[in-house]
Amino acid sequence: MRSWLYTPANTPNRMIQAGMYGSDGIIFDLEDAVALSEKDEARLLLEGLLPLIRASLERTHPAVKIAVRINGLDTPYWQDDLKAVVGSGGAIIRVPKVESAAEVEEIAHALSLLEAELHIPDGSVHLQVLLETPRGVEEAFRIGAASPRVIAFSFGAEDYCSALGIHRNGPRVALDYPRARIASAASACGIEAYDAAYGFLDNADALVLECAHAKALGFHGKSAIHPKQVAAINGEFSFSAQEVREAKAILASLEKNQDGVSSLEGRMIDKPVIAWAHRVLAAAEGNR
Amino acid sequence: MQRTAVAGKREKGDTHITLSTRCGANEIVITSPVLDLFGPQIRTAVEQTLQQLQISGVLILVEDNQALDCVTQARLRCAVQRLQRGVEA
Repeated sequence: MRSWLYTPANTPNRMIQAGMYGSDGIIFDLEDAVALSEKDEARLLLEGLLPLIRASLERTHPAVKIAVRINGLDTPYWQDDLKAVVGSGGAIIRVPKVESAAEVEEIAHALSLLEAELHIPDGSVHLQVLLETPRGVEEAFRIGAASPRVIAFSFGAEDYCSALGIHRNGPRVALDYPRARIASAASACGIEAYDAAYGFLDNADALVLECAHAKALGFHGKSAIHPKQVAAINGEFSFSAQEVREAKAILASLEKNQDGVSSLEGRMIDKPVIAWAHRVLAAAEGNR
Repeated sequence: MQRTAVAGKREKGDTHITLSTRCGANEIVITSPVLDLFGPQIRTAVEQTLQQLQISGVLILVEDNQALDCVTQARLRCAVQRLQRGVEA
């Protein structure tokens, strides 16, 4: 999944239109985008609209995934959020500010109880975990390994920068460490990693550079906070035509040399190279 | 004492609901730019929700701005919950 577009969960028109902007996924946000006085309103709206939007997207944009960002486990809202999301057919939940494996275990347990109550197969609701604090970043591998429900990490750069007292739009190297750690932990857990949303909407060039940088570090995609960011994110996180040609050539060379050892234009083709080629071609065919 | 609760917004695609306690039967007042076309449908959506929630003795002002029925119903549910919790307008 290359792009995830955030949409406030208390804006009916924007929610209905969110799937039409070309992002691979949309995130209905019950957390930061909704004022405290509107939490109940947004939750009820989501319950009412989610089944309709899911059915509509299945007809018109079947590849688009829907996630819901719930409120954090340190708030009084998250359990009601879970009930609303799972009860209305939501299958992916983005959990903010996770800092420990115990938190993942707590939410996984709550989901198991809900799934049993609603006669949904156990484990069918998945989690995208937001790592937004130095502690969360340091715990990344244990968090990702805490439950098979965890299918992705997402980096939350604003809170991370705030914790360290650094500027979000400062030197990019300042965020290399958390990005590399998250991407590496995601790979170790066999899950995807999505880079943080970029909040400077009028700086399209910087968005492109940030996407390219995150991709080079091993991220699969990035969150967007405005539809106008989606095309750039999709473009940067897609494999290039050159990469696709290279992947095809690698796999073709294997067919010619089936004795287990191969080379292509002087480059040794071994297991990790073959795995990369398969990943590129699967992504190119839309199997993200 | 009359109590009032509100929910929703007056933005396009949304509905603003004002719910007040009153003596007697429910009364539904609807305003909408598409009242001629969809007035009866909006009224049915409101009546169905009130019936499901077993609510009586309320005045409901529905300020529709071309919302889907499920949006109107979600906003009404929220106003009812707020009225019951005592969250005043």
